[in-house]
Amino acid sequence: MSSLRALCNRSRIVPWSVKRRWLSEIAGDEDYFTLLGARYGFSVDEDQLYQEHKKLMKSWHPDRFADDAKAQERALSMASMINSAYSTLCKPHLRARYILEVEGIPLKEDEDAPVDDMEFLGFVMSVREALENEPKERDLEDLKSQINELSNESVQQAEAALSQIKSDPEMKEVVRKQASKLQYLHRISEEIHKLTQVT
Amino acid sequence: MSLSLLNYARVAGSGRWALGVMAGNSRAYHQKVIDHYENPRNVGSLSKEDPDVGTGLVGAPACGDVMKLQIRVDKEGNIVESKFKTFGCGSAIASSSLATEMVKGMNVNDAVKIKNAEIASELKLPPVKLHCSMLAEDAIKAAVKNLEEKRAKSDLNEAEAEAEATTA
Repeated sequence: MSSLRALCNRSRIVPWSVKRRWLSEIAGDEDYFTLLGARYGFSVDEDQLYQEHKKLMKSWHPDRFADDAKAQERALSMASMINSAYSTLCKPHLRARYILEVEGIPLKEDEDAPVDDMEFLGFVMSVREALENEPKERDLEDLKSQINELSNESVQQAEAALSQIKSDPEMKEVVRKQASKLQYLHRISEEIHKLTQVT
Repeated sequence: MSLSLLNYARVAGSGRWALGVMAGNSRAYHQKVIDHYENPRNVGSLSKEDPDVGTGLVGAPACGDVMKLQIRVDKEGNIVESKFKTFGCGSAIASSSLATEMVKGMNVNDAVKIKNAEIASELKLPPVKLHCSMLAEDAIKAAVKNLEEKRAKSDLNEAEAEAEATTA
């Protein structure tokens, strides 16, 4: 079978028997983690995720089913789903947001803030104000690593809370709080990225 | 904007775009929002430590926006000055800009009664951006609350100092 697959990879002709197996391998309603073979959680192995995405796209790219319209249609929706899954899971703040949806505690725009962590908001505000004042490159580098550190901390705390979520419902608030922190931190990272690009 | 138009926008799915079409304007933001964005009123900061300054700091976790609204209040509780700083979308910036304009001259007891619907209707915010006006309403309330807490604390400190002075 592996040689047959190798033949397919080279020639783009896919025997129906092989196609049929591929088409049945994904139900179409899995969550993103299952789809990409990643462990459900706030931290993922990003290299492994990338490789899995690459592998899946090789199988499901619509161009491979050009001779069968129906199969191509299915491949197109599968490929879209795989791409959505990957773009969601490869970014920590989007991953966190997705987990909140899966857990039934999504971040909604018209809801009150989960926890008013005034110290954290104050920090975010002062950082964003400082970024407006043409910070030096070295300061930007320092800030970048500080933000990465804070993001990793939030990911770890969210992970810990998630593992206890079934036994302790109060952990839901902790998970939401840490996931929201990641959204604020991501905005700061975006600003830093914009500023470092210009130079 | 009439209720039927709003219903049309919701049914059409993309509220903002549909409203734009109905209004005969294909831009995403209404002119009033653009005006506040390009000519923001009262951008800046007041000194947080001032005893007559209240600072409201609010955040929108879903999008990571932060909004700071500050008020300077006289002895009668009238807001004599207001400044804001917002990091977020045009609607959030416009909402907080408008909020500072609205509260200037108001007594704090009236300022806390400002509803997000007033801000949203003045800026003609589409349904998808209503939460931005809510954030501004929260910021006003937070600023007033902060000032009240400050004043209560300083009253307490004064009372304690007096008590000590009399017992000494």
